[in-house]
Amino acid sequence: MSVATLPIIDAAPSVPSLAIDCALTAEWLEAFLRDELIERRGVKSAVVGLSGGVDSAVTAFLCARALGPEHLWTIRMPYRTSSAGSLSDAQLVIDALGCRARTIDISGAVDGYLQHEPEADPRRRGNIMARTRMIVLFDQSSKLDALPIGTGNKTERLLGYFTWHADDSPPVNPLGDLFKTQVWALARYLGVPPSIVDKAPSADLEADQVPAFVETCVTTAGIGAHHVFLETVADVFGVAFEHHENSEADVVADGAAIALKG
Amino acid sequence: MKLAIVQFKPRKGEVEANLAALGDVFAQLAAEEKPYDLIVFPEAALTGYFLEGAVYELAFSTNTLAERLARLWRERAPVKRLKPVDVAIGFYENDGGTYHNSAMYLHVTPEHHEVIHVHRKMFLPTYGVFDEERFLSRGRRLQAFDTRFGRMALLICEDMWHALMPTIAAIKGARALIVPSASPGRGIEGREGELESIRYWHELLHATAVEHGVFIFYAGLAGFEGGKGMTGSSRVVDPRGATLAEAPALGTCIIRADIDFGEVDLARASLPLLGDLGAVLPDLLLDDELLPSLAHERRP
Repeated sequence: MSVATLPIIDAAPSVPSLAIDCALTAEWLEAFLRDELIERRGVKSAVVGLSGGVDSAVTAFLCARALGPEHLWTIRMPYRTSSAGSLSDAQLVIDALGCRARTIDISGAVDGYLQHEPEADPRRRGNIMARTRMIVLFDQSSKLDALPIGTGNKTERLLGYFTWHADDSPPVNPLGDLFKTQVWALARYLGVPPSIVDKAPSADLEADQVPAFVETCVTTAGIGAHHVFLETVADVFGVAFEHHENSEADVVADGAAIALKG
Repeated sequence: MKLAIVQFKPRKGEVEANLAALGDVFAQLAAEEKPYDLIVFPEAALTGYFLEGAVYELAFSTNTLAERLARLWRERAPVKRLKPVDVAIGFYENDGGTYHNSAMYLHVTPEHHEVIHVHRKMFLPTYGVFDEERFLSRGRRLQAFDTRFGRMALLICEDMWHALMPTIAAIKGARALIVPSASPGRGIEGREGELESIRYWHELLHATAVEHGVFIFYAGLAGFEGGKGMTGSSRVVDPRGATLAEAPALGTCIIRADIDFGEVDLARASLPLLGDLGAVLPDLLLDDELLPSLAHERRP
């Protein structure tokens, strides 16, 4: 008699996933926006600052779906050194949504202060621009009887990668509980123009600055070089992450790799 | 028994506005030709759920709230339709300076009212988005109680997530479990287009109803509180585990159901798990290893 070979069923690995049900997520976030603006505050309109990046694009798409494009005011706020590409990417969002749009140059406001601080380094200048943009968004909201909507995501928040009294200021933040990876997935579902979704995240840091950023976090903020942290860093910048058995963790950014001993 | 489950959305902290809205619900229900026998509201229905320290300002004594609700029913029901009604509602209770997340079962007639039972939530979630035990004291006892429709028990939200709670309620004779709840949605990974937390509730209520042959009346709070979305999803489950009605996760509504408690006997006759449990549970609970193994954990 031959020995029967029993079929083997492999179990799926039980690991947390960043995958989301985009339709469900959009439905809840739209309901959240309507509840916070219309029902709780009696405000019909939203103001969103469009940077040309994916976070503000997704926020604008959600607001347009929740409130109607006629109740969405998008504001572009370039500084004189801002790239033309950011403005044209933001225009793609405006065209796709048919929402209200305005461009307000912040160069005069920013330079008005900076003339007294000519030595300010790029980090300080970046923070001044971010805070100036928030002054504009809150003032425009006041003028338009609208509410400024935040565009920050969970990854940035967990890392502390935001400017105080700037990106963290708006009272309602629909992306606040989504990791960057999830924001990208939601962007594709909502139909955000692919050139915005697929472009490399720039923020104020370029990808080749990521290793330096990680090192700063680890050494000055006391964040351990744990692979979960590095995974989160990789997530926010959209760069590849590799975790090796020997407990070294690598963040690979733009061809440059760093290795931190775990 | 004619049942209403009210998927209610309070304005946070605005007790008088919420009582007025609850009165509107009473008026709507009382306008129907056939009177309702039991009206169930969610957890923390009159204040909203995430109160933190404001619970000390907004909590009711049981008697004060019972008096308000009875008066509201009499004021809002048209005189010719002023029939006796039972109301089950979750509320923050001030018991002489000790605060609980409670639910009361109240019987109201045109002339008087009687608090049939108050259950104080025993499992106070204090993790993740929850913070109950910083502000509230645990209930210490789970009781079933007699109503004019049969014996019931109240379990508030996380009370229901511990299998021992509905088990003890059923052993104590409950034929229906009333579950007022305020469940913030979690889990957008999404399976079958539903939040993970809603799916888990669904499975939990189904399995519990089947195991003990009980009706379950689940009333879910609705609306957003500080970025947390309450998931409504009020539900009636019969003693065989069938969902008789299911409300959507978002928005407010009323579930209407006709309940025949004879179904409990039939379900238990065909699947006598509760009887089996009654025979075995003493062996499990009186096992002399059980309590020492728990006590060992508590030793310094």
